[in-house]
Amino acid sequence: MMRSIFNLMAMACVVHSAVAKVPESLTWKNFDEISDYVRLKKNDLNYQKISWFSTVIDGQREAQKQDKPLLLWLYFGDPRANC
Amino acid sequence: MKTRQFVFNDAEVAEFVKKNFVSVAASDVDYNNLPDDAKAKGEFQFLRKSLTGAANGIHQGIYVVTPSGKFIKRCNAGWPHIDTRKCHDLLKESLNTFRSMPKAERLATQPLSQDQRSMHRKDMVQPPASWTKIRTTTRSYPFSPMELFDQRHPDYYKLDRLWLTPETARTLVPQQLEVGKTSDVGSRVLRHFSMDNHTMLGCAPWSDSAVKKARLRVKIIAAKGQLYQLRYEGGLHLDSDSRWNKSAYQGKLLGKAVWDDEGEKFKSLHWVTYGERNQRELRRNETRGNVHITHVGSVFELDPVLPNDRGITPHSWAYGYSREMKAQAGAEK
Repeated sequence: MMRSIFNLMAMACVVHSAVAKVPESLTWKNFDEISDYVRLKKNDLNYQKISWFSTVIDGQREAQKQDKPLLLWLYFGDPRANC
Repeated sequence: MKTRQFVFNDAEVAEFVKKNFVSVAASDVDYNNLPDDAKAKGEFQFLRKSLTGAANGIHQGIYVVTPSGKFIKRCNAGWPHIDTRKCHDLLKESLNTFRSMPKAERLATQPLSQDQRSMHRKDMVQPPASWTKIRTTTRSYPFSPMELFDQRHPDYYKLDRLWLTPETARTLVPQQLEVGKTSDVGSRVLRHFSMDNHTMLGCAPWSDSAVKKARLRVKIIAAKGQLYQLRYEGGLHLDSDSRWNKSAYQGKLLGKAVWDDEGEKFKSLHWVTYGERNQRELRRNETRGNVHITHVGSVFELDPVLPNDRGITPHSWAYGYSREMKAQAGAEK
């Protein structure tokens, strides 16, 4: 049940952006409208709440110190940005 | 892009990971491409050992391992539609597995030492405070039919950075500070604007011959003391038919900014671009379907440089920025 609710919420987010009207061109009149469409949304920077180490050795040293599991998010380039 | 959006941008997952894990975001390709002497060191050996249990070894994905180098679980779920809840469940299972291990099993006898470092610390790259640091956000408009797999789906956004030295930033302002004065912005800025893909999704390689038009003009429209209000107008037309890039972009830029001449920096900057992207050759790992032409917008604004942005450089940092800038940012120490 909970999973269905989450899926519906996710779909609602998809619908929100998927129905945006495609502008004919950029003008001073629609400058803010296009800017608002592109700009980061409320949840787009949630991943920033996590303190990411950029190398495995720094993560391993800290995980050892804190006695916590080490999460490795590996992706071509830097997965936090630029993709 | 997809795991960021559907896993770590999920508020519950982000809180859970923050509380219970020590996290690393890194490039599997960078680790796999290390020279042999770096691979011989403890850091790479730890990574290789801890991912021995993963299906593809050191490969893209979300993994949980112990500080002792034991593989626990791969936590990706769903493709191409990522199942956020399942990923969360896998992370919870990983945590339970970790907690059920005896301390001697989950922890190393001693942590890796600094001389066992294989990978350069990216967070050593620190752009000087005097540089103008711009964050760019890019998002496509809806098209039909579109699938969530496609990087052009509007649920995805691309973040990038554009760094300018004080000298280059000054070329964004007319030399003569009088209302009504106009000028073209400097060639270095124009090159970043043309070549660095800030205005579109993906990272297409553009050559000089692909630049059919690149223009960016600035005008001083008002002044108050040492503050100058600026307006920008520009256009960009790229068309490439190379082996690596068969695509085009044609778009327009409008922008506003306030230049503080006393502080020699921008008080605000807000540029918007909007254009048509034609990907004549669609890549199966980036797109789905047969839609070649889409519309895409981008926003350039002063980078808030969030605490967790350390080490993140502009995407074109390796090839699009000078050695002098790299030295100033500490990347060539």
